[in-house]
Order: sequence, then structure tokens, then C-alpha cells
Amino acid sequence: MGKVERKRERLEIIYDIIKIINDNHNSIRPTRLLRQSNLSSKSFSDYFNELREKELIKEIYDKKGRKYITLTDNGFKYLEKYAVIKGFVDEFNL
Amino acid sequence: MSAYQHFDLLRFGTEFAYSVVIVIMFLFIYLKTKGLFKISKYRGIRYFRNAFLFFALAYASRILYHSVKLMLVASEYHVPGRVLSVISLFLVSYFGSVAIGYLIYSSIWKKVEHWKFLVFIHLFAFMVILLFPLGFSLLLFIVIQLGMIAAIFIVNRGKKIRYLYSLVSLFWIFNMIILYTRSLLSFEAKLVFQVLSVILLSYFIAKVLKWAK
Repeated sequence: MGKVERKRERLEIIYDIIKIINDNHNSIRPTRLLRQSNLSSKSFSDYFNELREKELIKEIYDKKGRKYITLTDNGFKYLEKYAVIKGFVDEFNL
Repeated sequence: MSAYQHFDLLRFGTEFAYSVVIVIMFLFIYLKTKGLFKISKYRGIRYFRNAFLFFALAYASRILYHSVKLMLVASEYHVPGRVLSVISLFLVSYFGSVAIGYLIYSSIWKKVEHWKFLVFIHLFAFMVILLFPLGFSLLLFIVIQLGMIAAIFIVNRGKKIRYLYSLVSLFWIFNMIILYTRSLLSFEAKLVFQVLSVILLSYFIAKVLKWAK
């Protein structure tokens, strides 16, 4: 019988995206982030825009004009507080 | 006999102090969860916080009611008690219904992710207060609020928190009954109920503080 994969929850997906950026020395190309996040292009685009609006991530450009994604201070705080946020959300069924 | 002679300072003081303590406790939950919301911008946390903000507003309306009553007694200025209680009833029941509505929405927003539901909460609460000019029935009000508690219980099925949410809401309804049927309970019985309410909320706050330190 095949392995049944659990659908990731919204908070978990956001955490995963942020963690990928952090694990890549806080600088990753959008295409690589999309690949590592295991999301469809549409979902990734939705989450990406959401994280940018929430000021958890931001886009930066290198000298050659290539786009990279990095975490903001809020992004680092989210990473640090993720277990607490997840515990709170689960406990109060939010 | 003047209004002042009818005034029972002990009962008034207890009722007033109780409302102030409850408002502070609800506001404490609202403010303590600000940090979690600020970092995550998670909508479930926002609706949860709103629920407790509106509970605080509902109890603050009770303080307003008692303050006006005290001013009237002190000045011996005559205003029909009915007018005061209807205005107070409007505010208290509106804010209370919105609070329970937000509590429900905080658990179902992922399934019913739509701004119209928030409009519905406020419209529903407004419709509840419209019952009053049409001949207020406390029983009807209680039935509506109990229906909302049943909704809380259903949307949180399988989760332990449904008992606590339902208890907080039940205590809220019981507060409403006590507020508008003054002779229902003796002073001592009300005091016991008020102490129980504070204990229940303290337990709730302890649960919140486990995460939002």
C-alpha cells in the first residue's frame, strides 16, 4: 500500500517556505524556492504574495540584476515563534 | 422616599467591581495575543482576539449602565429606568452577540473564508437587538444565544477547547439573565456566580499564557 501523505496546513507551508530561505543562508532564487517548497506554481505564487504582503519576506537584487528572496526581521521572528504560534492555533482550534 | 434611599452601595459596588475585573481580563487576553498576531498575521488569531475585544466591550457597556445609574442616583435626576435599560440592553447584547459570532468564525474561517460572514455577524447581532423594540423577550434572546453556543460546540467538535468556549459563552448568557432579572438570584448567589466567572476566565487566561507569554 502506498504511503499516504498528509496535506500540509497553511501555517506549516508558510513555515516551510521561510525555513527553506533561512537554510539557504537567507538568500534564494525564486525558481529554486518554488522547486524546494513542493507547491504548484499557482499555490506558490499565492503564498509568495501573501508572505510579501505580511512583510515576512522581501525581494532583493544583486549587481547583475538577479532576483533573490530573503527573510525580513518579521520572517526571522516567525521562524523563532513558529512552535508557539502553531501550538496556540491548535489549542484554540483557530 | 428618594432614589438614594433605595440605593444599595454594597450590591452596586460588587456589581461594578465584577464588571471592571471581567473587562480587564478580556482585554488582557486581547492584548496578550497581539504579539502572536503581529508576527503571524494569522486570520484565525485575529478573529479570536476580536471575540475577546467584543466581550470586553459588552461588559464595559455594563459598567456604563452602572455608572449612569450611579450618576442619576447622586444627582437625583429622574430618567425612566426603562430608557436606561433598553440602551444598555442594545449595547450589551449587540457586543455580546458579535463576540460569540467572532468566536464561531475563528474556528470556521478556513472553510467559510469570506468577508460576507463578518458582515453577517454584525447584521445578525443588529437583528437580535431589533427584537427589543418589537417587544423584548429574554427567553427568545436566550434561545438565540444558546443556538450560537450550539454552533460553537459543533464547529469545534473533536476539540477539547469546545467545552471552554461553550462555558465562557454560557457564563455570558447567565450574566445577561442576571442583569435583566434582578430578583432571580440572591446577592450571595450572584456573588458565588461572579467568583466562578472570574475563576473560569482565569483558567482561560492561564491557557492563553501558556503560549502568549
